[in-house]
Amino acid sequence: MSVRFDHVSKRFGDVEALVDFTLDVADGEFMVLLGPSGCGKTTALRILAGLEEPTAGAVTIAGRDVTDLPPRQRDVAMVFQNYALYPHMSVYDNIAFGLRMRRIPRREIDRTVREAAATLAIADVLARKPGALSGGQRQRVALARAMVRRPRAFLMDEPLSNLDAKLRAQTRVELIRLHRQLQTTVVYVTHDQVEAMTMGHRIAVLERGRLQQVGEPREIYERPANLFVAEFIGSPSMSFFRGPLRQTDGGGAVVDVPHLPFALDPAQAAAARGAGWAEVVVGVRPEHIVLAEDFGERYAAATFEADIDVVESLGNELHVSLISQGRGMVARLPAGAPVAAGEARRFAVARGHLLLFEPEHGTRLG
Amino acid sequence: MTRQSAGRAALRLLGWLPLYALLAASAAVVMFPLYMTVVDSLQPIAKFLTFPPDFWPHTPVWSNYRAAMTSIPMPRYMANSLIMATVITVGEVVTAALAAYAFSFMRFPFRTPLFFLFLSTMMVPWEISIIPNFQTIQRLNWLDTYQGLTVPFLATAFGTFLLRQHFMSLPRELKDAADIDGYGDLRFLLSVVVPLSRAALATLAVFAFLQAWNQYLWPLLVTNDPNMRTVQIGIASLQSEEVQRTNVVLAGTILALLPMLALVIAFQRFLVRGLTAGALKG
Repeated sequence: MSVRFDHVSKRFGDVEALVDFTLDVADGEFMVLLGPSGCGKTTALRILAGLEEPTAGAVTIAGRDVTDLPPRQRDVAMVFQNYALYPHMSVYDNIAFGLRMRRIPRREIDRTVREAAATLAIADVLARKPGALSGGQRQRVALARAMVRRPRAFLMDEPLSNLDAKLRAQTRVELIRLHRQLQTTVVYVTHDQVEAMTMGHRIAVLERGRLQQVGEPREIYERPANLFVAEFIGSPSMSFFRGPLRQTDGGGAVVDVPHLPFALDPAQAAAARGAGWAEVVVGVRPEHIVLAEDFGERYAAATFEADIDVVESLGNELHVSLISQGRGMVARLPAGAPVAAGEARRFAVARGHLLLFEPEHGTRLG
Repeated sequence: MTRQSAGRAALRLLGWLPLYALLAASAAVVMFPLYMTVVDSLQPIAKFLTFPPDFWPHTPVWSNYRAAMTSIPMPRYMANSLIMATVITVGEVVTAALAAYAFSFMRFPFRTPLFFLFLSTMMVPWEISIIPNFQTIQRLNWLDTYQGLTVPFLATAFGTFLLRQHFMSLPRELKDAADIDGYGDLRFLLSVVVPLSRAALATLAVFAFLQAWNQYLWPLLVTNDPNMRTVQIGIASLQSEEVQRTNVVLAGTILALLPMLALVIAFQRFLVRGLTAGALKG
């Protein structure tokens, strides 16, 4: 079912946890709320669940205003970060717990529980207590408990953060599969951009209680709405350079960063001029910084000399920390690129991939 | 290698020795009066007064116990004590669990100040409120009744405090999960909080029972009818009844002690866990 936050705000004492938050989640959509800790994403989820009351605004589920309804009448299921399984009950009872409140016949409950357990491959641990399960199994029990309720929406609060890296990657894929199978609306909270990018149909990025941008993962990555989103999304992070905007002969423009001038494409130059900005911040993704020797100068927006500080090899690629004129930046180079720490090399920034931001408010040009 | 580690093990044992010696000595000091009470309660009165005392009842005189049971209405007293202690225990555990639940899981204005106000009543000695309590009971016409014996003790700040501290250690998400699963407060309390707090509840129950069973002053004040007296008062009247036979009084004391002993032994597993709960989360 569709979910809507309508100008929702929440204050805890002096802290504004959520400010005028409006978001529409379509029926069957996998929506990720992404942001650093304390950004308000969990508050938003708890308000949707009915565990917190908003200070202002309304929440609707399937077109019905549920702002004043208690959690049990909202027909949503939640998966918690630490799973919140009832430790004294067997896995079976944990899964059946929510159903027993709904006066569902015992046989029906039994069938539903066993079905969900089979789907999530926990049928063999139904008699055990949560304490005797591995982290991954607990996670599945928590999912099964949410699943059997056949809720209007799944709310998930960092459900993978307690798993180790390998299991997390595996569970991510399983969640995607599960969602495809169930087609239920999911609102998923995480601070992990990989989870957000891989699982979300759309991502809503929050910071300090304010919605920064909503969009498909690719859009968020390629066209971040502002400096915060640009910096938060992508690993390693984007590098930023600030400088005055200067006209060049022939209608072009240059961002005159000391010792590192960036030549703008004609369209970008026109747009920047049109916006009347005096200074801009240039954002460069690590994959757009390359070795100059591999690169024709005419495809470069900028070339510069840099000292190689640290080379981190990930096997399939290198993350190379550079220092140029006292400024740090990170380049992502293919594995086997001929670089070593301590060397000074010439690098180029690929043309057509520069992102321009207004320095004061951080809004992106275009 | 093995010789070395054997030597080290022996050394470690030697290191423990003083500690165990001290513990054994303390245990002996604590247990000795109790042991002598048991011994003397089984001695004939003639032996009881000899010096040096006899440390073993060579010819146990079980009739001392019969005398203790018959010279005062001991069974009746014990029944009264049992009823009083049971009602107080059940009442205290139930009210404490409900109040502790409210103070730890429900949100309402002034929750923390109210809790501290509640706690502050623990600082007031019971003796201070004994007169107003007595007047209340008298006015209600509850002298010589079980209500009079029990009602003032049905709710205590101590019990609420003990349980609240335990409830606070339960993960908040359990409450959130139960809210979403559709469980109301009472059902959540009964089906999640109580089963997860068995040790704390058992600890409170044992303390409450012990305290109630050992009460002296209050039952003495509110009962005049011998049919309503409790076992501790019984012992006192046994003392005046049996001035000549102190060993019978001791037998009575042992009788009054037995239910307590049984209870503590039965619950000792929980008691240790309850008292150390929070020290080590398990």
